[in-house]
Amino acid sequence: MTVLLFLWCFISMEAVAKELSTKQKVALLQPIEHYAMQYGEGDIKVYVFVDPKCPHSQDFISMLFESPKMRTIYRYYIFFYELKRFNSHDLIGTIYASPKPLQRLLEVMVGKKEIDPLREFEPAVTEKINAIEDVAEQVGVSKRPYLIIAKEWN
Amino acid sequence: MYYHTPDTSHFVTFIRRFRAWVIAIFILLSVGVFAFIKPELISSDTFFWLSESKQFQKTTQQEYSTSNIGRLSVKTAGFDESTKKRLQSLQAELEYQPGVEQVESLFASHIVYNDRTSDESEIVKALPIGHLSAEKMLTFVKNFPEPYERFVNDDFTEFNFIIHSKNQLRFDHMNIPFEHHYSEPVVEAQLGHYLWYVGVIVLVIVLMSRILFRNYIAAFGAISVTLLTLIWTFSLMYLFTGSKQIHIAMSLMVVSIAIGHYLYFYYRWHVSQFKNDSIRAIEKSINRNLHPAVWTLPVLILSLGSLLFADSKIVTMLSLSLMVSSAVAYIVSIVFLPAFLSYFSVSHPRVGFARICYWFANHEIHYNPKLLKGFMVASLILLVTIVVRLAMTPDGFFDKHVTQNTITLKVPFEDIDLDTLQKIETFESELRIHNHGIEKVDSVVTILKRLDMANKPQTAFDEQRLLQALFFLELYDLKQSYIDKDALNISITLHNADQSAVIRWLEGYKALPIYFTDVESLSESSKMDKTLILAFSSLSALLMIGVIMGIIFRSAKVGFVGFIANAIPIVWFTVFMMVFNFELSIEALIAMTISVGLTSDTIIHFGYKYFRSRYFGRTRKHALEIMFFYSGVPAITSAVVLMIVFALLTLTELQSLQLIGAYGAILMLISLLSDLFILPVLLLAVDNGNKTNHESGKHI
Repeated sequence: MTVLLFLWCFISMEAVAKELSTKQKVALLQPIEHYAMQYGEGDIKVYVFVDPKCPHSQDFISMLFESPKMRTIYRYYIFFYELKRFNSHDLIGTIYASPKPLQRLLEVMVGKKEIDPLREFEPAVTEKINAIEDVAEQVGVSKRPYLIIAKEWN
Repeated sequence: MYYHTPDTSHFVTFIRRFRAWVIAIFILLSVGVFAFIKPELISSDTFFWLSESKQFQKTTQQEYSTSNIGRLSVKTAGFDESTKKRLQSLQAELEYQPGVEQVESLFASHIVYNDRTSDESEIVKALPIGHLSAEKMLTFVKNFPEPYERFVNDDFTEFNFIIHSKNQLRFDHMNIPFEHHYSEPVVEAQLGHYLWYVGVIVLVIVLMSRILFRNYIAAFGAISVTLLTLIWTFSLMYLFTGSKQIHIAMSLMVVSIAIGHYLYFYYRWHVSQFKNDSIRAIEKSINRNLHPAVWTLPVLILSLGSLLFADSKIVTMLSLSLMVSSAVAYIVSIVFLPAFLSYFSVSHPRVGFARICYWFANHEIHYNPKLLKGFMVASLILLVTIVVRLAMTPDGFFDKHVTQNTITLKVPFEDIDLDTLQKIETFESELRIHNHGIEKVDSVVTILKRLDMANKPQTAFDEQRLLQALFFLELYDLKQSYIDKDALNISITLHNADQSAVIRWLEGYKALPIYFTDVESLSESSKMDKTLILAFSSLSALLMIGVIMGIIFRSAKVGFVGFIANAIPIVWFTVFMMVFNFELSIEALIAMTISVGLTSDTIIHFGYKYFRSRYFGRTRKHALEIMFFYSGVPAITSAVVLMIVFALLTLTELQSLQLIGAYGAILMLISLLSDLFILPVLLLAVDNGNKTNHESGKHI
């Protein structure tokens, strides 16, 4: 019974998420923009959900790193959103906790640098991870990387 | 009138006395004028037509650049790793050629996919297809052929490279290690084309001189008269229009007219020496040709005069070439030619094949009136049908069938949004509905849809997916083929289509601002504008020739002969073109205009000779013989000379010369047959036999 209820909730959430327009998604994302790692100086905002251990996410970040053009046209708001099978929660927290998260992100995802993940984080870091997770669920982020391009609403 | 014989003895004496001066003045003036004006030969056929293309002006006003589009087809025995590498090298070499902007081919294509190792990625990948092994490439293209159909055939043995270049490409210096064919016609004349063109004319004239007249004087005279006519025609045209530009078609018209005029004068001088000395022969050459030759001028001027007011510099220049050259050739033939010929006499005044004239006269005197009537009715019905069809559906009259061709367009845009994409999609669907043979329409919509579909979306295409597709377009540098700074590029691949119909449809499409950017379509569009003007003018010219002939010979019947004898070659040529599915193009109409010029000359000379002989009491048969002997031989000679010249022009690589050559040669043949078999019979038919000097009481 519990499983069925969970499934119903999940399907309902999915359905609600699918119905969200880009404008609605952006409206949900804007309040947490300050939690994102900003990369690039372009006029067009791209909200990106990645998992630091996901190879597709790593490919994507590497492509941005290698393409100054793509960083001139677009401005990326990178959010970490864990894919459970990668078990990357600690790594996410460690990168967020570092003094320069973007630089650390690039080291890990592009430079494939191995870092020792912390086990415990400051409440601010946990709050950030939870807030992002909350919005990601509302938006219906199902893939990594997951892109939302907000050309019209910058 | 045709029965008057002008007294030219004083004129001939004057010319003979000052012959050295006359020749010197002509040569010096010509050299001086040539050096002063320095006419510019238009080497580019495209430039000639583009110079007043409305579509070209529209495109350049938007500051869009234009390109030549060519298709290099390469045949291979099979497709393996080695062939793939060689084809990739060819792709690189083509891209490296000066002026090349883009080379579309299988080896410049990408495979667009989502890495399906996991369903959790939104990343679309675009990989150059050449990165795959030969075997994988083959398998991939066979499984997903649609984007690559225009680049490779089903069994991977024929590869197409569609080349966009600033200039016309030459492959002479390139080593293409396969059997290949390049589709783009040569539209830029090279020195070799001119040398070939001049060489052919000189060779044919010399052969004509040797075979027919058994001397070189005829050749030297023809070349001199032609050269002088060319120089003075283009000098006078510069004086009238201020334009120094000469297209090769204009010079062909001048050469045709000059040779036509010259032969009447020279031939009479030549054969008159059978009974007279060369001085008397000069006199006869002038006084027997003075009237008919001068009558050809008002006929040409009044019949083609309307073209001078056409809203087209090209049409004006073409018609002016014909009119001015006719007047110049006339003056050169009665002033320069007698001065030149007075230095010579011929030892073989007989012209062997003139005897066939008697054969024609003997047979045609017994013509079958019913057959003639039937032929006339058929020709008139066909003429009316052509005129009605031209008036009712002028657009459908001139089609240009192409096996494979590419039209490129630009569409200005401010933003690539769903509305813009919808407009392009509607355009594509309407293009396919209203036109046959649209193989592929490649635009930003095509690539955006491919990028979007790589993720196998379950919902309708929306703004977010468009933005994402644009993102990947930018990420993989796929944009430059489809999007410029302020315009979207659309490329339409035609397969077994009527290109002119597609161009006309595109010109009339209003839902999108369309700008043609490929030179061939722009040039074709310009030609289509002129084609209709020339077609209607040629038809009105036929009517005018009839009216003027009627006035000259003071007979409505002769007027009808003038009209119908000129119309017959045009009508049957048009029928021939339609039956054999040749396109009725501007080149065909230029050939028709040349034919009108020459046929009207022949009709006047034939009519003059026939009615003059009849006036002086000759029987119908004798008048026919005289007509064939004095006017038929030069008419046949000029037709044969020009037919050979035109036919040989088809061997050149320059496309417009090839077409004018082919059409001109066919038209000359039809005109010649009409002049030999129909015109004399028509003259017999309208000859009521009343106007002889005996019956009217006049004296010679």
